[in-house]
Amino acid sequence: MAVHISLNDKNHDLPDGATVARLLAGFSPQPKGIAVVVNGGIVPKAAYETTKLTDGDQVEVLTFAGGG
Amino acid sequence: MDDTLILGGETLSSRLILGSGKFADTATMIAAVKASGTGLVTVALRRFNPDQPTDDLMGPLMAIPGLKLMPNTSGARDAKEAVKAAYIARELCGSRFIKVEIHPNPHHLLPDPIETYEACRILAADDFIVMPYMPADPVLAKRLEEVGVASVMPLGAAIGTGHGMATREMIEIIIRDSHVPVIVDAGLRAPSEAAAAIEMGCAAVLVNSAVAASDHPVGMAEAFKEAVAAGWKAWCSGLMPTSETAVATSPLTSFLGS
Repeated sequence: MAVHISLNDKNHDLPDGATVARLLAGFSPQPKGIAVVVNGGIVPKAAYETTKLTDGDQVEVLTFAGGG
Repeated sequence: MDDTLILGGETLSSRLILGSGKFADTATMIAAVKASGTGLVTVALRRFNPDQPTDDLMGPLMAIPGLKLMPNTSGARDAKEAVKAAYIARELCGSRFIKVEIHPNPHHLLPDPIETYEACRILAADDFIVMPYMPADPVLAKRLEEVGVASVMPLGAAIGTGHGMATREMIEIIIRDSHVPVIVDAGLRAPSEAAAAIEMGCAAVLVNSAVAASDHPVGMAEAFKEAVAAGWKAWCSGLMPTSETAVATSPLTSFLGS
């Protein structure tokens, strides 16, 4: 079974029961300065391990870029 | 002459705020930040691309001792989006600084005064150090002050134009009436314009394109640092009064004609 989510507006599959922490662990290299938003709500870093992702979740992962 | 600038309880050692956009690469940006002597750098939010991991901006910026980050809400088209961006940015870096920047029209990038006001009202009530990029409008500046912004940041000219302080007369009124620091944001091109802004009473200037789009960003960052320092020294020293008629500096003795 896979979980189908939207990651930054692109389809993304994860194993059943995957958490935000599991999603981030799949990135290489590991991003440092990021924030995660699931279905419009900010997920605090302390909740990455416990926040499970389910089918249809809209996930945004954000970072800093140069800006004025 | 105390050079420090206090914004929302945070002390900054420089009156130059630098934007981190438009630089050719991260190494040049970091070198320019160091050369500028700034204590506050703006950054923007963007989506992380897992397929194309790019340079990590936060790591090298936070490695500069004492440097604080001021995320902006660029890309927000209204107050709701700006508030969302502010909370995401605070979760990301923990900084209380937020540059509220709401410019829905990509052709002129001029700030929306109504949405800017609303976003500032919400964020100032929730412990952000709110720094609004705003039109050079003295009435709006007072309204923003009333809702608790830490400074007002009127534009000198449209973002990235390099047209200098086209709004000078309005900024003079804002400075005269304001009880919060006034910071010229956008439009400045030459270090002399930054010096002029400080000389007329601005607490600081925010520049990005002027440094990033110059031929030698590190040298230009240093030039802005010196210009801002000179402007501040001039402001503290008090400019001489102006006069409608000539006033001689040398004694007008008449011995040559006698």
